Amino acid sequence: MLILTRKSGESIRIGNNIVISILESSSRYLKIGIDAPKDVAVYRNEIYEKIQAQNRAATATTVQLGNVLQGLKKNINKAVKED
Amino acid sequence: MNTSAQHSNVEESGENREFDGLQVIDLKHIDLINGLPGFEHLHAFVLAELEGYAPFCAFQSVDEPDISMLMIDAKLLKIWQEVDLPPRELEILGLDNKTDSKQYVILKVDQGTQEFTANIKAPIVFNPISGAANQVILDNINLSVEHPLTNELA
Repeated sequence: MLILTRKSGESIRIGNNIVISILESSSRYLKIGIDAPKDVAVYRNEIYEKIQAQNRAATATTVQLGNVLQGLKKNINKAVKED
Repeated sequence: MNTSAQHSNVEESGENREFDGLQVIDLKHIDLINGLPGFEHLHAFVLAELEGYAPFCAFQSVDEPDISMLMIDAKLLKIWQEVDLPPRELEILGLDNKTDSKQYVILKVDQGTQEFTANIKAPIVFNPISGAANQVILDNINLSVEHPLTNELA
């Protein structure tokens, strides 16, 4: 990993069109500004990882998906009968 | 045992469009510009409405058909009326405003309780004309990745 030391008001350029600026720093947090082209997606990493994990957990093979839907239909039919 | 060759997946030939034995009544092609988080190498998906299972839809990778998920139209959720989409995300998809876009949320089933939850933190947003799409991660901290579906369908 490349490690650079920067102060408030200083910035880092990545490639020729991404600039990351240190706007504010305290002992508890850093406030960062990011200038990037709109096709470059920028995320808070822990949130992106959470979405990755959710997508993997939501994945079912088409066969499993068919089973889930069949189960769903049974539940709906049961609910209708109970009414 | 490898059964993948037996999967029928999506066939678009005439009247016989089937999704592993389930009848497809509508099929949309979706191109995820940034890929799907967790499956970043996958961009081409189909969104299939299945006969008898509305409002549930199947969301399936074209290149790896074993990657499938259930989704519903986010507009069916009461909470969705309060959700704004960032203009930047809409612009990337070639859209001017939220009403021009289609938004779906990915569902997950709890194996124990069989309860459905919806990932309303990161909807699949797409341009219904071009099919260009992204899974948009919303900044709103009140939105959950596991929002219970019970009592939510408007």
